[in-house]
Amino acid sequence: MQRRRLTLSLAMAAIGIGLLVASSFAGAASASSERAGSSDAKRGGTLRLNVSTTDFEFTDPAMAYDAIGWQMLYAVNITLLNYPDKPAPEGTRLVPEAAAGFPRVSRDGKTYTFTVRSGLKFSDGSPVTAAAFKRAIERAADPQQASPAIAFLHDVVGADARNLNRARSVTGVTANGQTLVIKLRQANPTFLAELAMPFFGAVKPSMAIDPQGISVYPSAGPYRIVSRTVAQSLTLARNPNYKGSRPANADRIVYTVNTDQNQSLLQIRAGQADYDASGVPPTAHSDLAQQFGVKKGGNGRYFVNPYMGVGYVALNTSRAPFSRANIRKAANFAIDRPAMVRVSGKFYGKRTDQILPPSLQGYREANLYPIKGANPARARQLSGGAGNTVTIIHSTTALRTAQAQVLKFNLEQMGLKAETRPLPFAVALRTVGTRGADFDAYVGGWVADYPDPFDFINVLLDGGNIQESNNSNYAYFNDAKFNKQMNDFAKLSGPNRYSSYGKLDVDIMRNAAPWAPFANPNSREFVSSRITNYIHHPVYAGAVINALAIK
Amino acid sequence: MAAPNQTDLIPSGAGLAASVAVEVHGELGENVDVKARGYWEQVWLRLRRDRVAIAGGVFIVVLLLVAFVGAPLAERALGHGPNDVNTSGGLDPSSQLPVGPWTTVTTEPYPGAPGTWEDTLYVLGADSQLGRDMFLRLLYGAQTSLQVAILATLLSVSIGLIMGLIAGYYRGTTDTVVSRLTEIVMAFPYLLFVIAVAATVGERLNRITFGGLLHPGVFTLVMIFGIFGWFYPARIIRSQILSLREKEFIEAARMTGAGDWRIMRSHLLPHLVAPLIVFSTLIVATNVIAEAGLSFLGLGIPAPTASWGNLLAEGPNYYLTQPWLMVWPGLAILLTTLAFNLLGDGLRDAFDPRAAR
Repeated sequence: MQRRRLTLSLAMAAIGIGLLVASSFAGAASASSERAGSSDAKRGGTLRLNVSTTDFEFTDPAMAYDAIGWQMLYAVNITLLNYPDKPAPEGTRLVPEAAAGFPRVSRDGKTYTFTVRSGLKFSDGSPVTAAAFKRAIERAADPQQASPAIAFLHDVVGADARNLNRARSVTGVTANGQTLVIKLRQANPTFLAELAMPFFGAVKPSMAIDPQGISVYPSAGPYRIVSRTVAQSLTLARNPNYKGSRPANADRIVYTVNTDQNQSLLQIRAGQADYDASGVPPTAHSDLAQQFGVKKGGNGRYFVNPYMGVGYVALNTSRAPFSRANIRKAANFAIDRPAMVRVSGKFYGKRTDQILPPSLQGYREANLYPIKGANPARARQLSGGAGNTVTIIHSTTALRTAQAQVLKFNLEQMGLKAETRPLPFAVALRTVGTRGADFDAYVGGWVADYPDPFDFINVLLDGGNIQESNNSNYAYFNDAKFNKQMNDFAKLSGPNRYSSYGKLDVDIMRNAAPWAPFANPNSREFVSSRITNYIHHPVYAGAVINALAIK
Repeated sequence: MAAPNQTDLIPSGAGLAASVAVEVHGELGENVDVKARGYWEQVWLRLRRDRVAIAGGVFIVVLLLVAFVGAPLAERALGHGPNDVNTSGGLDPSSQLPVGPWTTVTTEPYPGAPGTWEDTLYVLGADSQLGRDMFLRLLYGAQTSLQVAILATLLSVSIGLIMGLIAGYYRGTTDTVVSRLTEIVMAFPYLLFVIAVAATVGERLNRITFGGLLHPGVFTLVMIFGIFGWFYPARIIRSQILSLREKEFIEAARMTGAGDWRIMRSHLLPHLVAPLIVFSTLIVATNVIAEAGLSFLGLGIPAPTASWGNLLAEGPNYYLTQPWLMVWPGLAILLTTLAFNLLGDGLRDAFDPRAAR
């Protein structure tokens, strides 16, 4: 009986070990048996997209302000001017979309007159007129809506008054039939780029104010939102009333949200899903590159493209310990930038210690903080032995989780105690975007809304934009001197504008260091073997989903 | 000649003399000294004969030594900690993936970093993109997992013992209240509760470490497993007490004027030691798996504290390229639960040899 039990126990252990090993290698086997296929692109079919580890924060154009949301809205909305569905450099050049042409601009640069193309229709069949664009601006400026888009409307006459509830509408915007007139308080050289953001896409003039955002609404772009089940799915269908030239290849696009990133990768490998808007796990890139090669677009599987963006740690300047500039500078010495890049997997990007990406006009290299590796000794010296406990918020993606762990380790090396709090991406954004939230550092990234330093410095660091919620100044940096400079430089144009911003970037990081920037990342995307016609959008930093086609 | 150690072959009618004779390995009627043996000695003798159970026990003792003594020693010998991030040495330079087992890695944070940097050995390779030492994390993970499993068992068994004892002894309304409470706890959606705790007070509870005695997060899991695990022992104890309280020795104790508390403590409790020990060894194994499960789901031990569940959760990220990252923690969990189960099985047989037949 003893022997029988021993044999049985050993057999059970052997079976257990066998199962473990088998399960470990099973995936490898299935992956190696995968085969690639190719055929011509065609119109039709259903695209099955995943959004791993999170849901859309918003699908309402006045509220969505994240890469996943904008990628979707790019397929759904039309704006007066827009970027073509083409790779760089054409994809970075604005062209008229809903507007009949470029606007007529007054000699002082303060009045823009647009003519909205006639014949455009919303998905419910109603006509798109100038009122659709006025309504988008009104919603963005409405204090009840609490839209992050207010950061781009300060120059529009009456927008601030409306946002402060001192006026019933934005007085500087008038709509008359197909004519839209926008008056600015001062000339703004980036106004057209700002107006091209999805915030200001056409919405029905009757679209309500809702601080929670409206999920399903008629739209005028290549696709329309058919349904949304929060935390489960989002379905788009081709807009039957869209007569424009932009592609709309798939009949339907079905997003499944909150998928597991590893499972999602398996699904894409197996052709059960076509693309994950949250990307693939950092550990997969080396293998994918080896298996499928690295492409920039077209008919491949794995694509790597640079984009204008920055990975950074926002240091909450509104509370101790990062309310002190020296501690923030210390964090910049403590952070191990090569480690931040390495943990993010192959082709992640290049290290940086500045706010502006090098590809942006005006960038000047300053070598302010160590980018070859951490300098914890210098960090400890600067921090003066501050031993506070800091809370690091990050999204639950594998990428940010790994980066947050490196940051925690680095901050502990400089003498702070650090705790990480992983939250789903949308929840993380909502949390750190709320003034007074309980956090000290946020590990995140920024994709340029348009190629201008304003979109990095003013949008992310101007203290004048801080509101109760939906902030994007996650550092809650509010320095009167720098606020003034930001506002002054926003009025400049030409080379002077860029050189001023370049200097401001260096000044802010050298003297105030509200961030610890660590990398300028690449977009790394993987599609299923069913997919063709991949176009990497240089502004939205991801696949143009309305162009993706099924072979 | 009687075959040695064949206690199972004693005829049921042989009576006490036969079993004593077998215990002393003598023939019936032979004039040998019969050594009186206590209850615990007999249990130990029976357990000692069960080699599988002994092997399980030895494994557990070794595991405890390795976890609580070996881990700090290994850390000192290797010169780095379980949470030390080392992306320069711990990741393969070409693939930027964790290095494999038995790799000598550099501790130099970047090429040309000032100072002298020694190489170190990663016995089981690196754990993840953070390039931490898998071997050390497995050892420290054992500390965490065993802390959770053992403390949670102590808590649940203690609560269960008190509840079962009270319910079984007093019966009536007390029994009804305790039994209904037991059923409520049994029916409670435990996983939802864990998610709610993790999302609300989890962070604050995780900070309770009793001055570093426990790893972060251990207290939370101990409380959860304790609060939701007591109903099993409570039901076992209650049924035992319901039977024991009717025995003559309890009646005799009551007749000598012993109070309720004295009867429970001195006359009933000793009879419960055996089922409690057996149950505890089995529930420790369950708790090891439960900790791994919750940590795997991201609801257990917070990063960067190593636990077997955390380590296992990292594995699926690498199942295509570094499958061994799932094997190490999986193997540790498998062998530990097997050892506790085998020991528990052996103890049950040793305490109650009739049950084994």
